[in-house]
Amino acid sequence: MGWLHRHRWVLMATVLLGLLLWTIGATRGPRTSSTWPESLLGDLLSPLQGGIARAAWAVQKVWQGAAQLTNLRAENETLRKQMEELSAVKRELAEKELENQRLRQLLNFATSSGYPTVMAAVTGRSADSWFNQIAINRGARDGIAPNMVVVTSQGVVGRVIRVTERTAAVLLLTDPESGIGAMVQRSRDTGVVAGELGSTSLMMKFFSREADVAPGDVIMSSGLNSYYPKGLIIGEVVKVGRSDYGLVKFAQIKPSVDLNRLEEVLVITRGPGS
Amino acid sequence: MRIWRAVLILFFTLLVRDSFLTALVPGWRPELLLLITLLYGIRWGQKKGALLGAIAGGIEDLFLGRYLGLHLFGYLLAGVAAGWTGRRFFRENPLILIGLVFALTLVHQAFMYLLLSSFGFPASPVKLLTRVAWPLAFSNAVFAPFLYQPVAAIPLERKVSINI
Repeated sequence: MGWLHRHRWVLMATVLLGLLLWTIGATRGPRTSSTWPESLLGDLLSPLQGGIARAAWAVQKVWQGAAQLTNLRAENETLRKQMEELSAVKRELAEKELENQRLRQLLNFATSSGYPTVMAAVTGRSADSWFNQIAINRGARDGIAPNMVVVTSQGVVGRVIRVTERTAAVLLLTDPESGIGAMVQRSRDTGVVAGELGSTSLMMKFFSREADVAPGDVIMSSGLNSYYPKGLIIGEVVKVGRSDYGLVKFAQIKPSVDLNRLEEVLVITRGPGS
Repeated sequence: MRIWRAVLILFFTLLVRDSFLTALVPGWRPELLLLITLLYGIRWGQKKGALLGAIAGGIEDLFLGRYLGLHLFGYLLAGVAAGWTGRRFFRENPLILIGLVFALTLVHQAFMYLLLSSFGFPASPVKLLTRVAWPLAFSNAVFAPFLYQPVAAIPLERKVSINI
């Protein structure tokens, strides 16, 4: 007994080691079932493990997110720039498309009208309240001369009044000092169309008090004026009345060309009267 | 040489007005040079107002190419009138400034009407008032407080430095 008491720790250690080795040997390889302590431990710790794991994932995501934030910002900036560039390109394309349409209309008119023409861009407009004239980027070196008629595919714009080597000034139909011989397309009644101070519409005074004219009638150049050839569209009648104690019949005309939004025009280079 | 800077400023203003503003807002007729002349006259008196008005009107005439001298004369007188009224009223009050510009624009337009009519320009006084003068006076009056300080800074004379 004395020997056992003296070597009790050695014996216990040997037994425990043996148990351990047995356990290791018994549980080697895959198992399909677990022991009750394993089950108990697993069941008890599982929720806690899950919570910790979720917290860990959350922290990891935040960390990863923080790490990716710089990249995302840079990516966002790049995408925004690309979007702005695309928008600008889209706007530019739309503008080019509109310009293309206008130029095609002008070209069609130039071809079908039979008049020799020079295309010009509008570079300026007199902002003076009293006068209505525009500046174009064609001048004497392009064959432009005073009194040549300026048109668009919609109708008459005015006539050239002053020419430099590279530019020309065009008196618009709406200028109070402009005047054009005109006729009603339907009834062929004639008169003179002139601009009015501070107005975008035109006034036609008829030679006859009994002129047959009604709102909606198309007014065109009569050719009775030495500047404008016959048959160019001027505008449409919006109102008919009498002035000067009823002696003169007049018609208010809306120009067929929006003279406030001119961008390109055609100058008919056939000289006046030729 | 300072007068050339004023000429350049007015020239550039006219270019912007005729080629940019009228395209930006179709149908808008901002008579900026008249407004500048009026504001300058109100701030600096008759002589400087007349000088700037003459320069501005001369440039306007060159651009228009019709009735040469019309604007020079009109703006010169507008500058004198603005200088005369500016010295008699407290011009730093925005409301008085607005009122002055409104009234002076109407007077200028009336003068233009008389001058142009005498040359046979077709215009009726009723249409002038309703379609041209009144809207122009209104728009000038609205812009006057915003342009007063920048316009007052336009240089016309050489700076004099005194060395002691």
